[in-house]
Amino acid sequence: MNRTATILPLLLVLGFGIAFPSWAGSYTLIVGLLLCQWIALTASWTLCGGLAGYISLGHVVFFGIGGYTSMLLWQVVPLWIAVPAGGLAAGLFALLIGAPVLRVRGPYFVILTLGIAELVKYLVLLSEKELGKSSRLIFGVPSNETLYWALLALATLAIVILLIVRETRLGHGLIALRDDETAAATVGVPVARYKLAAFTLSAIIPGMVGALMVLRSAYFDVTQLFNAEISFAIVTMAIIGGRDDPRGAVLGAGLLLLISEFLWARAPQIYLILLGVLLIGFVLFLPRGLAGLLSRRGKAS
Amino acid sequence: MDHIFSGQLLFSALVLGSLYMVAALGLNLVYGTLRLLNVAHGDLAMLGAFTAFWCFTLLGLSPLLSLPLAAGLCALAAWLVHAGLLTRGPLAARAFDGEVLQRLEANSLLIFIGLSVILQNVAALAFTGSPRAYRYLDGVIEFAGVSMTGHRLAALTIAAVIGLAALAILHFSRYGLAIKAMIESPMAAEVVGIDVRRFRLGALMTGFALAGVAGGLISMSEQISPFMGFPVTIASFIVIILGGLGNLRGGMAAAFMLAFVQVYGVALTSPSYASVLLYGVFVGALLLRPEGLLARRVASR
Amino acid sequence: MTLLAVEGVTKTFGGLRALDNVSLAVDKGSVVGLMGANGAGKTTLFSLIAGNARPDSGNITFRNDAITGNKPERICRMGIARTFQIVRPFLSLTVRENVMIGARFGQNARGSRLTEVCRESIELAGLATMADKPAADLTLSGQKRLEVARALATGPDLLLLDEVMAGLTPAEVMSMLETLASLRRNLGITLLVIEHVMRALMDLSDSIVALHHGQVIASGTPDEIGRDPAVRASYLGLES
Repeated sequence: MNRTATILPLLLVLGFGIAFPSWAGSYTLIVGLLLCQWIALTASWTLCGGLAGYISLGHVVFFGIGGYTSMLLWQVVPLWIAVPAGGLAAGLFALLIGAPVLRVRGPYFVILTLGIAELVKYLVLLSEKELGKSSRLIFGVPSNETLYWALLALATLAIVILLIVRETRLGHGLIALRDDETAAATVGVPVARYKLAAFTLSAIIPGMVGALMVLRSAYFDVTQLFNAEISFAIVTMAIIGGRDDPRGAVLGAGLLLLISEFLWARAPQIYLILLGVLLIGFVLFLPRGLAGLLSRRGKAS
Repeated sequence: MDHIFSGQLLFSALVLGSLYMVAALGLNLVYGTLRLLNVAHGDLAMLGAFTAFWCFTLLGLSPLLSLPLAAGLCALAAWLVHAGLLTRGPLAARAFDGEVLQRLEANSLLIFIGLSVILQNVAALAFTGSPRAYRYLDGVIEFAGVSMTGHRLAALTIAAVIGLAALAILHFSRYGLAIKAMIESPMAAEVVGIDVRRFRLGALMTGFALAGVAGGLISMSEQISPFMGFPVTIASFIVIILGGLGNLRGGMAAAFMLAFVQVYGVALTSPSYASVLLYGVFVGALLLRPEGLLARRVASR
Repeated sequence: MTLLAVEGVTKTFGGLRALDNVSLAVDKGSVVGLMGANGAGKTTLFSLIAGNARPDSGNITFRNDAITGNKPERICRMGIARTFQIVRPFLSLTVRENVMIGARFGQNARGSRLTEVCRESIELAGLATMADKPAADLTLSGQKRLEVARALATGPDLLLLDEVMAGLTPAEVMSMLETLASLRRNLGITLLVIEHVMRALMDLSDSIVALHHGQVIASGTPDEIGRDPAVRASYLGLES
């Protein structure tokens, strides 16, 4: 990995992001906030799906658990406690289910994570029903600007964590076990521990993002909070951007958000169809994503 | 709520089981011969369901007659997928080593996820997302204290016929023998002169067609919508995992097992537990699936 | 002193008994050869020793510590390394990076020691000129050497070599033999070697164990094995 080529553009984007709210209109601010959300989610996903090679199609479950936690703690504790609590809850959940779940390999892991996300969604729906809460209303939502800064911080943190992990023993071990789990174990990589670490780490920030985003709507909608489309979008962004590369999260999230800005209001179905086509296209023809294209051009010279 | 020992529940379970059986048979065929976990399986059923719906609504054609059409459309889809996708990228690569194969399979899964999203949203775009239904064979037959609506009885009968035909083909015909051989070991099958490529295409088309037929049968008694496919996919996966991946007869038995668990489970609790039960069994089956079941099915060396 | 002791080990896969009550001992500093037809159970035995699989029954001890059923990473750090018959390089990494993984995780090497161990292992395996090549770009012979280099980097006391000569030209075989001999000579590493290239095995080994259908049918010096009627009948296909 060429360090300058990776870090410099990221720093530029961060700089832009910091200057952003000073000139952005209220609508544009929301777009920026959403971009930060997706970058945070995708970069965190990459820890598990890219570095370790365990593709999770149920990542929304961490988002949702964080959101549910924040929801339950709303107006019980201040925001700056509720958000980390959401991340903690998501991380604990990952830690709890990680061991048995990570023993399942390849495509079965993919559909298992999907199933777990749906299961948790229906469990939450059930528990809300049993608790007699047909709908919860949220009052006193934080301002968009507050949300923006918080999400920018989380996005930056997610990318920094990804950059750091890649340089450490953990990161090298993960890449080795991604290439060949048996060989990695045979040369001393503590495979099970490292997988669990990646899985748990990849859950924390999405938990915090969920804890924030749940507050955006006036009422609490479980189905939206645990929407499988979120998982799907994360995976698509990672694949399109490049799952080996920290720049990938920014590239993928940026491109897809741009497309959605043009399409979402008009026809959300067309947006999703395009996502599906892009996903298939990139998996078949550009498996290293847009970031892979950039690296290749750099190497050629 | 029906009494737990009533014939009514038994009838419901039998009908549901027979539908699961047809759907799962298709998925098992595709998995057994191509090692593909077709996540878009339920969406093919959705295609079949809409085919039956539109034939009935627009042409007055009885669903019993439009079933072959549904089957044909899905078989065509299979042919297109095979020609367009299965000859490229990760799906075309042949790997016999467990881990490399699993990583390829995980990537192939992404392609089918993409297909699933595309199918769902194309349908939503064309038909709008609202659920639809049609009335066919509405009459109710009373027998031994059980009220059986005509359409559910018809579905059960047709599904049973398909099941018996499948068993007969597997047992008595050379085609069935070839399929069983291919599922057991593609390499060995090739060596003894089975045209594996042609059979694979045939299995893919038959598998998709069965999904379409299952969808058509479902449309006779249930509401349909562009997003109805997902639970069908999950149920089909549960069935083939419980019955043994690639074990066509085991899958038939497992289909009824799942149906009984669902019908009686909901009767003992409440309808809001239906999804929790379904995904709970799904997650459980994937976690507890003995690795040996897979090792025996996947040909290595 | 006995470095590795395998006692009455049995392993069944489905209906197939891969290993049946197999026992053998490897003395420190020696080279033990393992021979047998395909399917005789040799690689299975390696998998059991290295921890990639668990025996159904029996014990394996290394330096008097029981290692039966331990995880591979643990066994590696205790001092046993293995190569794979079908090579398993980390394809997205270079040769040097592959070896570094071995050094870093196998013996916890850091900083200058890490660099030193890598350099040594790469040189010993004869890969010095290709150290920065991507592993995916190596020939089979190169990848087999990479297996050896990476295993060496873990700092083993016992090295399990699984058919490192398969697919090599005679010249490459000679070269590899040299390398293996120097491993024993210069580093004092104990070797347990599976080989089909009989001449190489006979030349290299202090003693040989012959397997057939999962059972030990003979063990002794290369000369004794060469004369053993059971071995001649089963493996060499000769009538005595």
